[in-house]
Amino acid sequence: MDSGMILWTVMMFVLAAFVGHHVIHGVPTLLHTPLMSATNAISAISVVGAIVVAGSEYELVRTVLGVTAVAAAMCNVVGGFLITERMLKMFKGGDVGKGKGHQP
Amino acid sequence: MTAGLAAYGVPVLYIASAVFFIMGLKLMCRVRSVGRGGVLLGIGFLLAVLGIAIEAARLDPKFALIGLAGGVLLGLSLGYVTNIDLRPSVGPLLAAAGGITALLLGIAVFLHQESWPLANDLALSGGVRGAAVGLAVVSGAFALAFGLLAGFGPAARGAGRPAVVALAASASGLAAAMMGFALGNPIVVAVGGLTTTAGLSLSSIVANALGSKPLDVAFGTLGRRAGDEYSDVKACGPEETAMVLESARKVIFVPGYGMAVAQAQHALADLGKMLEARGAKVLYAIHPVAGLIPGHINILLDEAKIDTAQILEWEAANRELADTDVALAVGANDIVNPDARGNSQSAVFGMPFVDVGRAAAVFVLKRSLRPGAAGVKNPLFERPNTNMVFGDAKKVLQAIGVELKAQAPRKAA
Repeated sequence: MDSGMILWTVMMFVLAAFVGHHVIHGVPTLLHTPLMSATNAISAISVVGAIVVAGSEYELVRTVLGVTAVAAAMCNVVGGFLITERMLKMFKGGDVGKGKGHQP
Repeated sequence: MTAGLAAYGVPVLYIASAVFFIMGLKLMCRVRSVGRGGVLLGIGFLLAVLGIAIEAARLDPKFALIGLAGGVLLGLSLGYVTNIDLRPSVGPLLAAAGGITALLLGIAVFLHQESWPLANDLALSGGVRGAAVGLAVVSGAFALAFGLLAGFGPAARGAGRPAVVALAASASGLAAAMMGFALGNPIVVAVGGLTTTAGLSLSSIVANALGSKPLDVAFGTLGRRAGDEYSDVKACGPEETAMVLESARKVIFVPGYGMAVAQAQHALADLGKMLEARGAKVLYAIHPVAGLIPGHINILLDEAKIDTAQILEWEAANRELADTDVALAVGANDIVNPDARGNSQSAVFGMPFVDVGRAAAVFVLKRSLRPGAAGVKNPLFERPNTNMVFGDAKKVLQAIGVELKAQAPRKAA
Protein backbone atom coordinates (compact mmCIF):
# COMPACT_ATOMS: atom_id res chain seq x y z
CA MET A 1 0.00 0.00 0.00
CA ASP A 2 1.55 3.27 -1.03
CA SER A 3 1.58 6.34 1.13
CA GLY A 4 -1.05 8.00 -1.08
CA MET A 5 -3.61 5.33 -0.22
CA ILE A 6 -2.77 5.63 3.47
CA LEU A 7 -3.53 9.34 3.25
CA TRP A 8 -6.87 8.69 1.54
CA THR A 9 -7.86 6.32 4.30
CA VAL A 10 -6.73 8.75 7.00
CA MET A 11 -8.73 11.47 5.30
CA MET A 12 -11.82 9.26 5.32
CA PHE A 13 -11.34 8.64 9.04
CA VAL A 14 -10.98 12.36 9.78
CA LEU A 15 -14.08 13.28 7.75
CA ALA A 16 -16.12 10.49 9.36
CA ALA A 17 -14.99 11.69 12.79
CA PHE A 18 -16.18 15.23 12.01
CA VAL A 19 -19.54 13.93 10.81
CA GLY A 20 -19.90 11.84 13.98
CA HIS A 21 -19.24 14.87 16.15
CA HIS A 22 -21.71 17.13 14.34
CA VAL A 23 -24.50 14.66 13.78
CA ILE A 24 -24.98 14.11 17.52
CA HIS A 25 -26.36 17.33 18.92
CA GLY A 26 -29.23 18.64 20.99
CA VAL A 27 -30.17 15.13 22.17
CA PRO A 28 -33.12 15.27 24.61
CA THR A 29 -32.60 13.39 27.91
CA LEU A 30 -35.32 10.96 26.92
CA LEU A 31 -33.13 9.68 24.08
CA HIS A 32 -29.82 9.43 25.97
CA THR A 33 -30.23 5.73 26.75
CA PRO A 34 -31.59 4.58 23.34
CA LEU A 35 -28.86 6.52 21.52
CA MET A 36 -26.21 5.12 23.84
CA SER A 37 -27.47 1.65 23.06
CA ALA A 38 -27.49 2.30 19.29
CA THR A 39 -24.01 3.89 19.27
CA ASN A 40 -22.68 0.88 21.10
CA ALA A 41 -24.39 -1.49 18.67
CA ILE A 42 -22.86 0.13 15.58
CA SER A 43 -19.39 0.11 17.13
CA ALA A 44 -19.64 -3.64 16.44
CA ILE A 45 -18.92 -2.79 12.77
CA SER A 46 -15.59 -4.53 13.39
CA VAL A 47 -17.60 -7.72 12.81
CA VAL A 48 -16.78 -7.08 9.14
CA GLY A 49 -13.09 -7.65 9.92
CA ALA A 50 -13.86 -10.51 12.27
CA ILE A 51 -15.73 -12.38 9.50
CA VAL A 52 -12.60 -12.28 7.35
CA VAL A 53 -10.38 -13.50 10.20
CA ALA A 54 -12.78 -16.34 11.02
CA GLY A 55 -13.05 -17.34 7.36
CA SER A 56 -9.31 -17.40 6.70
CA GLU A 57 -7.46 -20.64 6.15
CA TYR A 58 -7.89 -22.81 9.24
CA GLU A 59 -5.32 -22.29 11.98
CA LEU A 60 -6.45 -23.15 15.50
CA VAL A 61 -5.58 -19.95 17.39
CA ARG A 62 -6.62 -17.59 14.62
CA THR A 63 -9.89 -19.40 13.92
CA VAL A 64 -10.86 -19.55 17.58
CA LEU A 65 -10.07 -15.84 18.00
CA GLY A 66 -11.95 -14.97 14.82
CA VAL A 67 -15.04 -17.03 15.64
CA THR A 68 -15.18 -15.61 19.19
CA ALA A 69 -14.77 -12.09 17.82
CA VAL A 70 -17.61 -12.60 15.31
CA ALA A 71 -19.82 -14.01 18.07
CA ALA A 72 -19.03 -11.13 20.50
CA ALA A 73 -19.66 -8.51 17.80
CA MET A 74 -22.93 -10.08 16.61
CA CYS A 75 -24.12 -10.45 20.19
CA ASN A 76 -23.34 -6.75 20.66
CA VAL A 77 -25.18 -5.62 17.55
CA VAL A 78 -28.23 -7.91 17.80
CA GLY A 79 -28.65 -7.44 21.55
CA GLY A 80 -28.05 -3.69 21.20
CA PHE A 81 -30.63 -3.18 18.45
CA LEU A 82 -33.23 -5.32 20.23
CA ILE A 83 -32.83 -3.45 23.49
CA THR A 84 -32.98 -0.10 21.71
CA GLU A 85 -36.18 -1.23 20.02
CA ARG A 86 -37.74 -2.34 23.32
CA MET A 87 -36.83 0.97 24.99
CA LEU A 88 -38.47 2.91 22.17
CA LYS A 89 -41.61 0.78 22.46
CA MET A 90 -41.76 1.62 26.17
CA PHE A 91 -41.70 5.32 25.26
CA LYS A 92 -44.55 4.91 22.81
CA GLY A 93 -46.62 3.30 25.57
CA GLY A 94 -45.81 6.20 27.92
CA ASP A 95 -47.01 9.78 27.98
CA VAL A 96 -44.25 11.32 25.89
CA GLY A 97 -45.31 14.41 24.01
CA LYS A 98 -48.61 14.89 25.77
CA GLY A 99 -47.33 17.72 27.97
CA LYS A 100 -48.71 18.65 31.34
CA GLY A 101 -50.99 21.59 30.59
CA HIS A 102 -54.71 21.93 31.25
CA GLN A 103 -56.94 19.78 29.12
CA PRO A 104 -59.61 21.82 27.34
CA MET B 1 -19.54 -11.60 -12.86
CA THR B 2 -18.23 -12.13 -9.35
CA ALA B 3 -15.21 -9.98 -10.12
CA GLY B 4 -17.45 -7.18 -11.39
CA LEU B 5 -19.60 -7.39 -8.28
CA ALA B 6 -16.58 -7.17 -6.02
CA ALA B 7 -15.09 -4.27 -7.97
CA TYR B 8 -18.17 -2.07 -8.29
CA GLY B 9 -20.98 -3.58 -6.24
CA VAL B 10 -19.06 -3.65 -2.98
CA PRO B 11 -17.99 0.02 -2.98
CA VAL B 12 -21.57 1.02 -3.81
CA LEU B 13 -22.84 -1.09 -0.90
CA TYR B 14 -20.28 0.47 1.42
CA ILE B 15 -21.15 4.03 0.36
CA ALA B 16 -24.87 3.34 0.81
CA SER B 17 -24.13 1.76 4.19
CA ALA B 18 -22.20 4.85 5.37
CA VAL B 19 -25.09 7.12 4.29
CA PHE B 20 -27.59 4.95 6.21
CA PHE B 21 -25.38 5.07 9.31
CA ILE B 22 -25.07 8.86 9.24
CA MET B 23 -28.76 9.51 8.58
CA GLY B 24 -29.73 6.90 11.18
CA LEU B 25 -27.68 8.61 13.90
CA LYS B 26 -29.06 12.00 12.91
CA LEU B 27 -32.69 10.84 13.09
CA MET B 28 -32.09 9.10 16.42
CA CYS B 29 -31.33 12.47 18.04
CA ARG B 30 -34.98 13.59 17.74
CA VAL B 31 -37.98 12.17 19.56
CA ARG B 32 -40.14 12.44 16.45
CA SER B 33 -37.83 10.36 14.26
CA VAL B 34 -35.99 8.07 16.67
CA GLY B 35 -37.75 4.90 15.47
CA ARG B 36 -36.92 5.54 11.81
CA GLY B 37 -33.30 6.26 12.83
CA GLY B 38 -32.97 2.85 14.43
CA VAL B 39 -34.27 1.16 11.28
CA LEU B 40 -31.78 3.06 9.08
CA LEU B 41 -28.88 2.02 11.34
CA GLY B 42 -29.97 -1.61 11.05
CA ILE B 43 -30.09 -1.37 7.23
CA GLY B 44 -26.64 0.26 7.19
CA PHE B 45 -25.29 -2.59 9.23
CA LEU B 46 -26.80 -5.25 6.95
CA LEU B 47 -25.38 -3.53 3.84
CA ALA B 48 -21.89 -3.52 5.38
CA VAL B 49 -22.11 -7.22 6.23
CA LEU B 50 -23.45 -7.99 2.73
CA GLY B 51 -20.48 -6.10 1.27
CA ILE B 52 -17.91 -8.13 3.18
CA ALA B 53 -19.79 -11.35 2.36
CA ILE B 54 -19.35 -10.61 -1.36
CA GLU B 55 -15.76 -9.48 -0.87
CA ALA B 56 -14.85 -12.60 1.09
CA ALA B 57 -16.87 -14.99 -1.05
CA ARG B 58 -13.88 -17.17 -1.86
CA LEU B 59 -13.11 -17.74 1.84
CA ASP B 60 -14.46 -20.72 3.75
CA PRO B 61 -17.68 -19.42 5.35
CA LYS B 62 -18.02 -22.34 7.78
CA PHE B 63 -16.37 -20.84 10.84
CA ALA B 64 -17.65 -17.32 10.23
CA LEU B 65 -21.18 -18.73 10.09
CA ILE B 66 -20.68 -20.61 13.36
CA GLY B 67 -19.59 -17.36 14.99
CA LEU B 68 -22.45 -15.41 13.40
CA ALA B 69 -25.06 -17.94 14.52
CA GLY B 70 -23.66 -18.13 18.05
CA GLY B 71 -23.51 -14.34 18.37
CA VAL B 72 -27.02 -13.83 16.98
CA LEU B 73 -28.46 -16.42 19.39
CA LEU B 74 -26.65 -14.89 22.34
CA GLY B 75 -27.76 -11.40 21.27
CA LEU B 76 -31.38 -12.54 20.84
CA SER B 77 -31.44 -14.12 24.27
CA LEU B 78 -29.92 -11.01 25.85
CA GLY B 79 -32.24 -8.71 23.96
CA TYR B 80 -35.51 -10.64 24.17
CA VAL B 81 -35.36 -12.92 27.16
CA THR B 82 -33.80 -10.40 29.52
CA ASN B 83 -36.34 -8.91 31.87
CA ILE B 84 -36.62 -5.23 31.01
CA ASP B 85 -35.82 -4.40 34.63
CA LEU B 86 -32.40 -5.98 34.18
CA ARG B 87 -31.79 -3.82 31.13
CA PRO B 88 -29.39 -1.42 32.89
CA SER B 89 -26.89 -4.24 33.37
CA VAL B 90 -27.11 -5.41 29.74
CA GLY B 91 -25.84 -2.14 28.20
CA PRO B 92 -22.45 -2.30 29.94
CA LEU B 93 -22.22 -6.02 29.16
CA LEU B 94 -22.66 -5.26 25.45
CA ALA B 95 -20.15 -2.42 25.66
CA ALA B 96 -17.68 -4.86 27.18
CA ALA B 97 -18.42 -7.27 24.31
CA GLY B 98 -17.41 -4.48 21.90
CA GLY B 99 -14.08 -4.19 23.69
CA ILE B 100 -13.54 -7.95 23.62
CA THR B 101 -14.17 -8.03 19.85
CA ALA B 102 -11.49 -5.43 19.23
CA LEU B 103 -9.01 -7.13 21.56
CA LEU B 104 -9.41 -10.59 19.97
CA LEU B 105 -9.27 -9.19 16.45
CA GLY B 106 -6.15 -7.22 17.29
CA ILE B 107 -4.41 -10.31 18.61
CA ALA B 108 -5.50 -12.41 15.61
CA VAL B 109 -4.23 -9.87 13.08
CA PHE B 110 -1.04 -9.35 15.07
CA LEU B 111 -0.29 -13.10 15.09
CA HIS B 112 -0.85 -13.44 11.34
CA GLN B 113 0.42 -10.25 9.83
CA GLU B 114 2.11 -11.98 6.90
CA SER B 115 -0.81 -14.12 5.74
CA TRP B 116 -3.68 -11.68 5.37
CA PRO B 117 -6.24 -13.31 3.04
CA LEU B 118 -7.81 -10.23 1.47
CA ALA B 119 -4.58 -8.31 0.85
CA ASN B 120 -5.74 -5.47 -1.39
CA ASP B 121 -4.08 -2.19 -2.11
CA LEU B 122 -5.75 -0.47 0.85
CA ALA B 123 -4.33 -2.85 3.44
CA LEU B 124 -1.46 -1.48 5.47
CA SER B 125 1.81 -3.32 5.72
CA GLY B 126 4.79 -3.53 8.05
CA GLY B 127 5.23 -0.97 10.78
CA VAL B 128 2.16 1.09 9.96
CA ARG B 129 -0.06 -1.99 10.27
CA GLY B 130 1.65 -2.90 13.56
CA ALA B 131 0.90 0.59 14.90
CA ALA B 132 -2.75 0.44 13.79
CA VAL B 133 -3.21 -2.99 15.35
CA GLY B 134 -1.52 -1.82 18.57
CA LEU B 135 -3.86 1.17 18.76
CA ALA B 136 -6.83 -1.11 18.12
CA VAL B 137 -5.82 -3.36 21.00
CA VAL B 138 -5.30 -0.41 23.35
CA SER B 139 -8.67 1.16 22.43
CA GLY B 140 -10.30 -2.24 22.77
CA ALA B 141 -8.91 -2.50 26.28
CA PHE B 142 -10.28 0.98 27.05
CA ALA B 143 -13.69 -0.04 25.71
CA LEU B 144 -13.66 -3.12 27.92
CA ALA B 145 -12.60 -1.04 30.95
CA PHE B 146 -15.33 1.57 30.38
CA GLY B 147 -17.88 -1.19 29.86
CA LEU B 148 -16.98 -2.74 33.19
CA LEU B 149 -16.90 0.69 34.85
CA ALA B 150 -20.42 1.36 33.53
CA GLY B 151 -21.59 -1.95 34.98
CA PHE B 152 -19.88 -1.86 38.33
CA GLY B 153 -18.44 1.65 38.77
CA PRO B 154 -19.84 4.64 40.66
CA ALA B 155 -22.16 5.60 37.77
CA ALA B 156 -23.66 2.09 37.49
CA ARG B 157 -26.95 2.95 39.14
CA GLY B 158 -27.30 6.60 38.18
CA ALA B 159 -28.47 8.78 35.31
CA GLY B 160 -24.78 9.07 34.33
CA ARG B 161 -24.47 5.49 33.14
CA PRO B 162 -25.20 6.30 29.46
CA ALA B 163 -22.23 8.71 29.56
CA VAL B 164 -19.89 5.87 30.52
CA VAL B 165 -21.34 3.34 28.05
CA ALA B 166 -21.04 5.99 25.31
CA LEU B 167 -17.34 6.36 26.21
CA ALA B 168 -16.97 2.59 25.85
CA ALA B 169 -18.73 2.72 22.46
CA SER B 170 -16.41 5.53 21.40
CA ALA B 171 -13.29 3.54 22.34
CA SER B 172 -14.67 0.48 20.61
CA GLY B 173 -15.40 2.57 17.49
CA LEU B 174 -11.79 3.82 17.50
CA ALA B 175 -10.61 0.23 17.82
CA ALA B 176 -12.81 -0.73 14.86
CA ALA B 177 -11.43 2.14 12.75
CA MET B 178 -7.84 1.07 13.52
CA MET B 179 -8.71 -2.51 12.53
CA GLY B 180 -10.22 -1.07 9.36
CA PHE B 181 -6.84 0.57 8.59
CA ALA B 182 -4.99 -2.68 9.20
CA LEU B 183 -7.42 -4.75 7.11
CA GLY B 184 -7.86 -2.17 4.38
CA ASN B 185 -11.64 -2.08 4.74
CA PRO B 186 -13.08 1.41 4.10
CA ILE B 187 -16.52 0.89 5.69
CA VAL B 188 -14.92 -0.19 8.96
CA VAL B 189 -12.71 2.92 8.93
CA ALA B 190 -15.66 5.20 8.14
CA VAL B 191 -18.17 3.78 10.62
CA GLY B 192 -15.45 3.34 13.25
CA GLY B 193 -14.50 7.02 12.89
CA LEU B 194 -18.18 8.04 13.00
CA THR B 195 -18.77 6.04 16.18
CA THR B 196 -15.62 7.37 17.86
CA THR B 197 -16.80 10.97 17.87
CA ALA B 198 -20.53 10.20 18.06
CA GLY B 199 -19.85 8.33 21.32
CA LEU B 200 -17.68 11.16 22.64
CA SER B 201 -20.32 13.79 21.80
CA LEU B 202 -23.11 11.74 23.34
CA SER B 203 -21.05 11.12 26.45
CA SER B 204 -20.39 14.81 26.89
CA ILE B 205 -24.07 15.66 26.24
CA VAL B 206 -25.20 13.18 28.92
CA ALA B 207 -22.56 14.41 31.39
CA ASN B 208 -23.44 18.03 30.60
CA ALA B 209 -27.09 17.31 31.41
CA LEU B 210 -25.87 16.36 34.87
CA GLY B 211 -23.70 19.48 35.10
CA SER B 212 -20.52 17.39 34.88
CA LYS B 213 -17.89 15.94 32.52
CA PRO B 214 -17.70 12.37 31.11
CA LEU B 215 -14.64 11.28 33.09
CA ASP B 216 -16.01 12.81 36.31
CA VAL B 217 -19.14 10.72 35.81
CA ALA B 218 -17.13 7.57 35.02
CA PHE B 219 -14.92 7.84 38.09
CA GLY B 220 -17.59 9.14 40.44
CA THR B 221 -16.27 12.63 41.08
CA LEU B 222 -19.71 13.95 40.07
CA GLY B 223 -21.13 16.73 42.19
CA ARG B 224 -18.13 17.15 44.45
CA ARG B 225 -17.53 20.67 43.23
CA ALA B 226 -21.10 21.61 44.11
CA GLY B 227 -20.63 21.59 47.88
CA ASP B 228 -23.95 20.11 48.89
CA GLU B 229 -24.79 16.87 47.10
CA TYR B 230 -27.95 16.52 45.07
CA SER B 231 -29.37 13.03 45.02
CA ASP B 232 -32.46 12.99 42.82
CA VAL B 233 -32.31 15.60 40.09
CA LYS B 234 -34.18 15.28 36.79
CA ALA B 235 -32.63 16.96 33.79
CA CYS B 236 -34.12 17.49 30.36
CA GLY B 237 -33.35 19.29 27.13
CA PRO B 238 -34.91 22.12 25.11
CA GLU B 239 -37.05 19.70 23.07
CA GLU B 240 -38.89 18.30 26.10
CA THR B 241 -39.24 21.79 27.58
CA ALA B 242 -40.84 22.95 24.33
CA MET B 243 -43.21 19.96 24.37
CA VAL B 244 -44.54 20.96 27.79
CA LEU B 245 -44.64 24.70 26.95
CA GLU B 246 -46.59 23.87 23.80
CA SER B 247 -49.71 22.95 25.74
CA ALA B 248 -49.31 25.52 28.55
CA ARG B 249 -52.04 28.17 28.98
CA LYS B 250 -50.22 30.22 31.58
CA VAL B 251 -46.46 30.62 31.86
CA ILE B 252 -44.42 32.60 34.39
CA PHE B 253 -40.77 33.43 33.79
CA VAL B 254 -38.50 34.09 36.77
CA PRO B 255 -35.33 35.78 35.49
CA GLY B 256 -32.30 35.77 37.80
CA TYR B 257 -28.60 36.60 37.91
CA GLY B 258 -27.84 33.96 35.26
CA MET B 259 -30.12 35.66 32.72
CA ALA B 260 -28.30 38.95 33.28
CA VAL B 261 -24.87 37.32 32.89
CA ALA B 262 -25.90 35.51 29.71
CA GLN B 263 -27.59 38.72 28.37
CA ALA B 264 -30.56 36.49 27.59
CA GLN B 265 -33.31 39.14 27.94
CA HIS B 266 -33.99 39.37 24.19
CA ALA B 267 -34.11 35.58 23.81
CA LEU B 268 -36.48 35.50 26.79
CA ALA B 269 -38.73 38.18 25.30
CA ASP B 270 -38.77 36.35 21.94
CA LEU B 271 -39.84 33.10 23.61
CA GLY B 272 -42.51 34.99 25.60
CA LYS B 273 -43.93 36.54 22.41
CA MET B 274 -43.92 33.16 20.69
CA LEU B 275 -45.94 31.64 23.55
CA GLU B 276 -48.38 34.58 23.52
CA ALA B 277 -48.85 34.09 19.79
CA ARG B 278 -49.88 30.52 20.61
CA GLY B 279 -52.51 31.86 23.01
CA ALA B 280 -50.73 31.48 26.35
CA LYS B 281 -50.74 34.09 29.12
CA VAL B 282 -47.13 35.07 29.84
CA LEU B 283 -45.93 36.85 33.01
CA TYR B 284 -42.53 37.83 34.38
CA ALA B 285 -41.79 37.63 38.11
CA ILE B 286 -39.18 39.95 39.57
CA HIS B 287 -37.51 39.25 42.88
CA PRO B 288 -36.27 42.34 44.78
CA VAL B 289 -32.62 41.25 44.76
CA ALA B 290 -32.46 39.39 41.44
CA GLY B 291 -29.54 40.35 39.20
CA LEU B 292 -26.37 42.22 40.12
CA ILE B 293 -28.13 45.11 41.87
CA PRO B 294 -31.80 45.64 42.77
CA GLY B 295 -33.70 46.84 39.71
CA HIS B 296 -31.17 45.27 37.34
CA ILE B 297 -33.66 42.78 35.89
CA ASN B 298 -36.30 45.54 35.41
CA ILE B 299 -33.81 47.47 33.27
CA LEU B 300 -33.00 44.41 31.18
CA LEU B 301 -36.68 43.46 30.63
CA ASP B 302 -37.38 47.08 29.68
CA GLU B 303 -34.50 46.96 27.21
CA ALA B 304 -36.10 43.85 25.65
CA LYS B 305 -39.38 45.87 25.32
CA ILE B 306 -41.42 43.63 27.59
CA ASP B 307 -44.77 45.21 28.52
CA THR B 308 -44.66 46.43 32.15
CA ALA B 309 -48.22 45.08 32.62
CA GLN B 310 -46.72 41.59 32.37
CA ILE B 311 -44.11 42.23 35.08
CA LEU B 312 -45.03 41.25 38.64
CA GLU B 313 -43.41 41.74 42.05
CA TRP B 314 -42.62 38.51 43.89
CA GLU B 315 -45.70 38.49 46.15
CA ALA B 316 -48.13 39.08 43.28
CA ALA B 317 -46.26 36.43 41.29
CA ASN B 318 -46.68 33.89 44.09
CA ARG B 319 -50.47 34.40 43.97
CA GLU B 320 -50.48 33.93 40.18
CA LEU B 321 -48.27 30.82 40.39
CA ALA B 322 -51.03 28.73 42.02
CA ASP B 323 -52.85 28.25 38.68
CA THR B 324 -49.79 28.44 36.42
CA ASP B 325 -48.97 25.55 34.07
CA VAL B 326 -45.28 26.18 33.65
CA ALA B 327 -42.82 28.24 35.72
CA LEU B 328 -39.46 28.82 34.04
CA ALA B 329 -36.60 29.99 36.30
CA VAL B 330 -33.94 31.49 34.04
CA GLY B 331 -30.53 31.53 35.71
CA ALA B 332 -32.16 31.82 39.13
CA ASN B 333 -31.18 29.88 42.25
CA ASP B 334 -31.37 31.55 45.68
CA ILE B 335 -34.42 33.63 44.72
CA VAL B 336 -36.45 30.47 44.06
CA ASN B 337 -35.19 28.50 47.08
CA PRO B 338 -38.18 27.11 49.03
CA ASP B 339 -35.98 26.85 52.15
CA ALA B 340 -36.65 30.60 52.49
CA ARG B 341 -39.96 29.59 53.99
CA GLY B 342 -39.60 25.92 54.87
CA ASN B 343 -36.23 25.50 56.59
CA SER B 344 -35.34 27.67 59.57
CA GLN B 345 -31.78 26.26 59.54
CA SER B 346 -31.09 27.59 56.03
CA ALA B 347 -29.06 30.73 55.35
CA VAL B 348 -31.86 31.97 53.08
CA PHE B 349 -34.63 31.48 55.68
CA GLY B 350 -36.98 34.46 55.91
CA MET B 351 -35.85 36.02 52.63
CA PRO B 352 -38.40 36.86 49.95
CA PHE B 353 -38.64 34.12 47.35
CA VAL B 354 -40.62 33.25 44.25
CA ASP B 355 -42.51 30.04 45.01
CA VAL B 356 -42.20 28.46 41.56
CA GLY B 357 -42.95 25.02 43.02
CA ARG B 358 -46.65 25.98 43.06
CA ALA B 359 -46.79 25.76 39.26
CA ALA B 360 -47.79 22.44 37.67
CA ALA B 361 -44.38 22.06 36.03
CA VAL B 362 -41.12 23.85 36.83
CA PHE B 363 -38.13 24.22 34.54
CA VAL B 364 -34.88 25.60 35.93
CA LEU B 365 -32.45 26.87 33.28
CA LYS B 366 -29.02 26.84 34.86
CA ARG B 367 -25.40 26.19 33.91
CA SER B 368 -24.81 23.53 36.59
CA LEU B 369 -25.89 22.50 40.09
CA ARG B 370 -23.40 24.90 41.67
CA PRO B 371 -24.82 26.95 44.55
CA GLY B 372 -25.74 30.62 44.12
CA ALA B 373 -24.46 33.65 46.05
CA ALA B 374 -25.94 32.34 49.34
CA GLY B 375 -23.87 29.16 48.97
CA VAL B 376 -26.68 26.80 49.94
CA LYS B 377 -28.34 23.78 48.40
CA ASN B 378 -31.70 24.35 46.72
CA PRO B 379 -34.25 21.59 47.47
CA LEU B 380 -36.43 22.88 44.60
CA PHE B 381 -34.09 21.07 42.19
CA GLU B 382 -34.97 17.71 43.73
CA ARG B 383 -38.74 18.13 43.63
CA PRO B 384 -40.67 15.72 41.40
CA ASN B 385 -42.23 18.47 39.27
CA THR B 386 -38.89 20.24 38.68
CA ASN B 387 -36.80 19.67 35.56
CA MET B 388 -33.29 21.06 35.23
CA VAL B 389 -32.29 22.33 31.78
CA PHE B 390 -28.52 22.74 31.92
CA GLY B 391 -26.68 25.21 29.71
CA ASP B 392 -26.18 28.87 28.88
CA ALA B 393 -29.52 30.69 29.43
CA LYS B 394 -29.47 32.48 26.09
CA LYS B 395 -28.61 29.38 24.04
CA VAL B 396 -31.16 27.23 25.86
CA LEU B 397 -33.95 29.81 25.42
CA GLN B 398 -33.16 30.09 21.71
CA ALA B 399 -33.11 26.29 21.39
CA ILE B 400 -36.53 26.06 23.08
CA GLY B 401 -37.82 28.65 20.60
CA VAL B 402 -36.51 26.61 17.66
CA GLU B 403 -38.13 23.43 18.98
CA LEU B 404 -41.41 25.25 19.61
CA LYS B 405 -41.46 26.50 16.02
CA ALA B 406 -40.76 22.97 14.78
CA GLN B 407 -43.87 21.67 16.52
CA ALA B 408 -47.21 21.82 14.79
CA PRO B 409 -49.20 25.03 15.48
CA ARG B 410 -51.92 24.63 18.06
CA LYS B 411 -55.41 24.12 16.67
CA ALA B 412 -58.03 26.66 17.65
CA ALA B 413 -59.94 25.38 20.69
